[in-house]
Amino acid sequence: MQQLQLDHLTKCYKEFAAVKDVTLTLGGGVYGLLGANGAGKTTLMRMLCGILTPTRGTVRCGGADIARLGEEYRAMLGYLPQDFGFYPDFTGPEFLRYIAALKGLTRAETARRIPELLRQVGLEEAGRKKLRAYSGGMRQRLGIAQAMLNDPQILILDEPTAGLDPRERVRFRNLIADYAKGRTVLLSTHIVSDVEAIADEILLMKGGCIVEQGTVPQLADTARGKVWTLRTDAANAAKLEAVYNVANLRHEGEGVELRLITADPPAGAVPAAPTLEDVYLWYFAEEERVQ
Amino acid sequence: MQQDELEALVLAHYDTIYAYCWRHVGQRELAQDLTQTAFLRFWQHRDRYRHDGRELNYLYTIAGNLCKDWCKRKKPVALEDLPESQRDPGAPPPDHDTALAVRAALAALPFAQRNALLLYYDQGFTAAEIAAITHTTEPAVRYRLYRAKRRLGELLKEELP
Amino acid sequence: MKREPDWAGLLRRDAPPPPHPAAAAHTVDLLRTLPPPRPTGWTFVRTQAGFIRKRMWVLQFAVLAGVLALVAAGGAGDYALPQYALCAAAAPLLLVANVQDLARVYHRGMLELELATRYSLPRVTAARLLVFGLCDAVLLGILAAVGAVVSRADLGVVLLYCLTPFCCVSALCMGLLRHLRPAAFGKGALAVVAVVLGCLLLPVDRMQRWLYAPESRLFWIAALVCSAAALVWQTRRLTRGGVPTTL
Repeated sequence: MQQLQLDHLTKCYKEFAAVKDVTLTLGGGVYGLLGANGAGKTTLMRMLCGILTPTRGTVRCGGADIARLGEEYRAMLGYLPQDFGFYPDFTGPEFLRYIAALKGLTRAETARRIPELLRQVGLEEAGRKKLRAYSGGMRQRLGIAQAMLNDPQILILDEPTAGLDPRERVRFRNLIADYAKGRTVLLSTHIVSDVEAIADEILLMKGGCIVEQGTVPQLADTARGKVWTLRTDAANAAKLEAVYNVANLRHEGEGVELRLITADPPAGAVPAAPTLEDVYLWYFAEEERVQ
Repeated sequence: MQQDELEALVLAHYDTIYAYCWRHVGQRELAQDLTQTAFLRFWQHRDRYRHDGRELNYLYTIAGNLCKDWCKRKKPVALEDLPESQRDPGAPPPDHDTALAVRAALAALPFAQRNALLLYYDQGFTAAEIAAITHTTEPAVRYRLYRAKRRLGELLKEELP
Repeated sequence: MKREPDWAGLLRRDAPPPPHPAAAAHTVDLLRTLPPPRPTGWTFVRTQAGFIRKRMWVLQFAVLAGVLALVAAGGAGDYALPQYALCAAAAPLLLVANVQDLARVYHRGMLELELATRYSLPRVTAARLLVFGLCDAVLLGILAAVGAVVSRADLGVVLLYCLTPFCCVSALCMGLLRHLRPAAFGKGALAVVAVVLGCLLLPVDRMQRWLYAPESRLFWIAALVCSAAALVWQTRRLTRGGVPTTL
């Protein structure tokens, strides 16, 4: 199992720091990188893949700088970018054969891995369909398959569940949970449920920094005393929505039940057990509001 | 071939390949190195071989080539004495003179003849199998066996009954 | 009849010492640490050749066929101008399809993926350049041979007129590949081809006569030597990491 060590990793674009001084160790298991759009997740992941040069800091694998390791590091890496491009005239298996060639797999390994992966991501029926005819979900699943082709020790997935329906999401979670044994998987998302069930550790990223790190229960604990439920009427609910960070709103008969994320609750609010989603909303309320 | 299949192959046939290498080079440590290299080469080039149950034959081919390369680069070195503690308990009582004579005679043979002789009489392959291992024809193997036995007969006149 | 000696028994009299007890396990441990074997360089080039789009080959052969038809349709004159000019112009045209295929990775959003694989973009580019180079060499040979036959000129002369613009445009395109942003590469390369074509197919008759006159061959030879040297230099730089390895 390979350990990734990030030391004061920083990426600046002129005046703007997309990633600021990130120091952490990733060693085995599933890491969920949670953050709103623009938090710096993609930039961080690109630096981990060696395709973006950091302004400062290093990424080490097994103690060696990945910039020096080069091909040796990329051989143990699997990457799914956020904006996953493809050659439209390839079929799914052809595309995987192309990527397998780039990953240096032998023909025998390629022939073994491709049907196995297509089955695991539910694309075995796609057959001779060209990629231009694939739906968004199918392309995303193909992207996940290509990332796993070389059985990588380090798997980095940027927004892997974008475009997947709920059933495909569950399948993806199960696939990753099984795969991560003895390996390091880092997946970024802004959908909490995608990581909540499978991540061994969550990294909350905001403004280019890792603001919180820990297991799901540990992170949920940080929001203790900030999550409340309140039953009220519809008119009052509308007023409260304008003022407070409302995680959930549910109509129950005549009234409305609100779930609020706030350190200063309104009268009548009852404390509730925090979830990871609540933690996310606590940190990313402004970003979510803007979106 | 999967990694676990290769590991099973190593554990099953290490001693056999080692014995074959030792016959050629006469040194324990070197024979171990060559054996390890043979398995390594086999794994690195496994895609070249049809996996049809004849992996052992391929190993002999690789090991034979390694021994041949070594023999070309160096003359056979001074013979080792057999320490008593390393003897196989099931083997006949030590007869150093005969053992050394046999070893010297084998070393005096050209590689191809020695190889054919060892694969036939020591490792138990048929002439057809040896032809496949050494990438030659069956008549060529039989001829090498004939020449090897004739030469050994001359060199081991006193040891032979 | 003389009994055959017991050769197997004789060999058993010199039994090998047993190997170290941990030798086999040590070999197993070593095998576990090995990285997966990778295909040889030529295997990689062959696999890359398989992924070059059929469209590219079709375009190249279409260019060749079109030019050959035009060349064959013309006659031989004192300077055999149309044939020379056509052959010289066709050579860089062959590069259009090559450039489009090389630039494809930048246009299809594959750049990020291909930069993160074991055999990264520089290797892929080098492998494809090799395949394109070999194919173009064959096509140029055919073009020059037909051009020489039709214009009744020396094969060497026609080859000179084909190779010089080809090497020149190739060297320029490789330079662009190293220096231009990915998105601009395709357009830049096509612009270079267009400029060179324009120069070769100059409408001004006098200029054309001078360009393809026997007296001007020294100029062509000098241009060929310079552009071939530039091509070799650019190829070396490109294949030694000149292609961007990061975004």
